[in-house]
Amino acid sequence: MRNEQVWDQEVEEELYEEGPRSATYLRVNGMNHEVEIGASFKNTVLAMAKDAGLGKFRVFVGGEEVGKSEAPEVFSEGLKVELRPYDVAG
Amino acid sequence: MFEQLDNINVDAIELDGVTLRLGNRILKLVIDEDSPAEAESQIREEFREKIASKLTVIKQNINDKVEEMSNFVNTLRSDYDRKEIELQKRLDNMVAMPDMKHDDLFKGLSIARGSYPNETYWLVQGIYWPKYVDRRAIEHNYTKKMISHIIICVVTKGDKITGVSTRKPIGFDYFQHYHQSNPDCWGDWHFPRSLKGKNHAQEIIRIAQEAQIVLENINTGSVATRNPRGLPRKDTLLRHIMPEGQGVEQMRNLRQDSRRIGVKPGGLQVDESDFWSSD
Repeated sequence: MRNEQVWDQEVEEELYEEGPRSATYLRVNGMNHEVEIGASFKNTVLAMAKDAGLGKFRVFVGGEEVGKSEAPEVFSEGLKVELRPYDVAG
Repeated sequence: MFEQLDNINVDAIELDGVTLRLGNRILKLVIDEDSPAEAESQIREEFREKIASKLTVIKQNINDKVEEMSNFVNTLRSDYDRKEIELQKRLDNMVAMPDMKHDDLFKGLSIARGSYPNETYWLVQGIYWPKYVDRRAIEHNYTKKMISHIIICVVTKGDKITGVSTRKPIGFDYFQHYHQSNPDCWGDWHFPRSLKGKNHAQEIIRIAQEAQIVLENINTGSVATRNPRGLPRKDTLLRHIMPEGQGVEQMRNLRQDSRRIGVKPGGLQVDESDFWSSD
């Protein structure tokens, strides 16, 4: 439910960047996407990456990079995941 | 020994008596009194001279043998010293082989000593397969033609990583690609500066795999070579970009020449289980 309070511009931007504290979300290409609790971690991540046009990418859970072998099985409550592309050469 | 020879006293040699055999009779003459006769003195003197001359010959022979043995021992010692110095030199130049296993070989890893002390060249067989331009997918069939066999060379000194470069498999020249400026221009990608864990071979393989992934994307904002040998010109490549939002799907039908060198549909011919990939 949307809060009808008028937000200060700065606070609104901050929420957009970090996402609501209690929500479970996956961030890719600068956008947060809410994820259902209990959803398969790997399948969700791969689907999101494909939709975002990411080929090979890095996965960060709570700010720490995780490999496929270290990834959790499902999305738990409050889990914040970010997909980042690899750095560019040149 | 020589002292014993010198102490032989001819005068101390005494007869026990004379024995005569006459037919079947044995006559023994026993000394009745000591009265050195002239003849006896002469015989003794002659005996003394003969013994002295024999002793001299014996001493000379012994001397020669001792000298021969001494020379032999000296030769052996000097050989031993020379070989010890040679061995020490070789040991000083030797570097312990990194702990590399059979599995690492299958992942394409080999090593060689560098020109400088403690320097090692780690060579990982890999492929150059650009799939994106500025993170936009290149047409699937077009990218297949650009697959190239390369070697990723990681140079270390001790546990410090001093360089990562792409090389041609034959001749070891720098591999020509859009970000190659001899050596490669890695841009934002910073390879680790030191090896951290115990399994150096695995760390090196992972760095090489990451380098390949970085090169899957061509960054037109910083192209070092617009027309790398054997690859399309940059402008030609730009005409084969897929519409925005379309990703690169995993290619199942690779060309024969790619499959022949071991390329798998995912791109990396090594175990990529820990890398996240949707292509």
